[in-house]
Amino acid sequence: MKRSACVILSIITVFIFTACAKTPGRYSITFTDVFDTVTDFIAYCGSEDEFNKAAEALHGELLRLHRLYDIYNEYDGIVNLAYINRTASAAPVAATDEITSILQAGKDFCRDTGGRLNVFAGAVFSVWHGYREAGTGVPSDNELEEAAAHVSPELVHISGGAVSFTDGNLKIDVGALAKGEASRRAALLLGKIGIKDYMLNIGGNVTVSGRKPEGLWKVGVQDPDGEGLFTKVSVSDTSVVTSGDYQRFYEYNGRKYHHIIDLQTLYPADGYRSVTVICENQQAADALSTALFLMSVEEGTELLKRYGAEALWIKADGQAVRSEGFSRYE
Amino acid sequence: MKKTKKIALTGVLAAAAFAFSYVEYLIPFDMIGVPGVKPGFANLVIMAALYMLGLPYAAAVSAVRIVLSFLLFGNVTSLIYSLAGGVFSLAVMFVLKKLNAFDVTGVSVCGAVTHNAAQICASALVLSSGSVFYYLPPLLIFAVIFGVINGVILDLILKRVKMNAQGR
Amino acid sequence: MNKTVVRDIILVGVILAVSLSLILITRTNAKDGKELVITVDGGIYGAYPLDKDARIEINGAEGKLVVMIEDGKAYVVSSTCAGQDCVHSKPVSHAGERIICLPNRVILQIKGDNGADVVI
Repeated sequence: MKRSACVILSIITVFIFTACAKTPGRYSITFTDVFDTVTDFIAYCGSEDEFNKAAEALHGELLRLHRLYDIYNEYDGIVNLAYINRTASAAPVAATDEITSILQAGKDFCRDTGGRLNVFAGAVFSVWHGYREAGTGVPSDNELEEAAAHVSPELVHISGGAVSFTDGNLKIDVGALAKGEASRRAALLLGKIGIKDYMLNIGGNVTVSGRKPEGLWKVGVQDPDGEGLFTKVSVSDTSVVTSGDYQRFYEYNGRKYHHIIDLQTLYPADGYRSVTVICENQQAADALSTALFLMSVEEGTELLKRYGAEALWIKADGQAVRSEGFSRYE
Repeated sequence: MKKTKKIALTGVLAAAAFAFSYVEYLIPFDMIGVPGVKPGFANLVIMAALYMLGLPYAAAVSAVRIVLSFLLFGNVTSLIYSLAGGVFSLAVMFVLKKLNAFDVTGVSVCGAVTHNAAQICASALVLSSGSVFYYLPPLLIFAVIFGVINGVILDLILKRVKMNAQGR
Repeated sequence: MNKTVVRDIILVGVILAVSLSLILITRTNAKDGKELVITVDGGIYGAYPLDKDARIEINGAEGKLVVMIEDGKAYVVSSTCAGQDCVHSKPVSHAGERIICLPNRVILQIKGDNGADVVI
């Protein structure tokens, strides 16, 4: 029996040394060139080499999707949304599955949210985008109403992998879905190359997989007033997305104008400071965080149930509302 | 006890230790606010092996638990943590038991404390950062609490098992 | 009472006392210890304690940024970038908070322990 003990102990020792030689541990990298935001990737890997390879593959995938969903720039040899926006009213454009599937999802979410979450309302969003970039004014009601006449999903046709518009002024803007969809595809890629325990944060779209050696991943939700953390959620194998009025905005005449536009008023939505959604489906989490920002808590609660998601609303007056199961993560 | 019986019992205990590890993996205790807090019922099983069967068998139970956890739901980093915790805590418990310095509960507490301290040292090495030692004092408090609970449970188990054995 | 049981009780008492006093010591001595970590294009540019006022000039990917640390808060005074998002960003002071200048590939982040892997 003494001998077997020696054997076991030496096996363990060998295990420790081989493991250490490969320097497993926590690795992280930050990208600044995708989706006009900051992307963090943290993973527990067996070696630095393994992590670097994964990070490179991830970066390539995110860059590819970023270009496909880019509505401001066209790229040589790629049919992306900017190209489709420019040409799809003249003739149908053959597009890849990444584009047709996100547009189909856009139609579904538009229907499920009663038109509140509408990726086909790029005409309205681009008016606000222009003023936000310039920072020197607010669009006129005329300008907004003119744009709002070209936002119906019915004007966009997807058939046989081709996209066409029956309205020359319609613009697609998948800003509310792109990061979620990119997270979903990135998760598939990371799963395929065998990265299991990681956290990916694409500008507020957090996907967590597996866990840290010491437990669950911890995602901090910012206090909208800038007073540190509002709360912290402990999660594994899900995604957490926050939409907040502090993420992208500009100030004019002492008033703040943020990036989440309510298509009913054509102005930035003013009901909440932030909405955080926890949902296993990354794309739904992203879409829901914006959709909930644009509807009452009651309507939002109904929508959450349909997707099996949880949410934390921080209202404009600072009051916090949690869906039934949210506090289980806190 | 016959050797075959000992080996059979080792298998049963290894299965139990692994089952406890899995349950503790499924129900994380993160909500307490200190990362890494665990009741450590697997350690209770390993201690039972140590007291009923001796060091080699306890080491086998611990090794099986660690390897299975790694293969089924761990990663290389968590393997290093559990190896560090497993090896050092078993060594300390063995020595303290040999010295007869403490009762079962005291040995259990020392095992739990060593387990946590070794894991924190491992994570300091893995993360190459000393700031993790900040978590050690609160972890130790939970280690003492769960160590006492496990020790008391084991004490009861050992007494029952002994009675049972004498009854035969 | 059994001698070993008495030792057990002493042991538990000693460990609890040591842990509690360590917690007290670390809590009371816990200076904020927060720092501003600046990265340019993924590489660390520098780390600056938040409790010391400073003026930092950064050569970014496209141009220059001037960052101030004042009263434990960090903010961007000026930048040569087009959007000026970084200049309009609120001062940061809590762990995990960031100011980003995408055109210059500059990230200002507050490092400190808040127990979260990421803040959104």
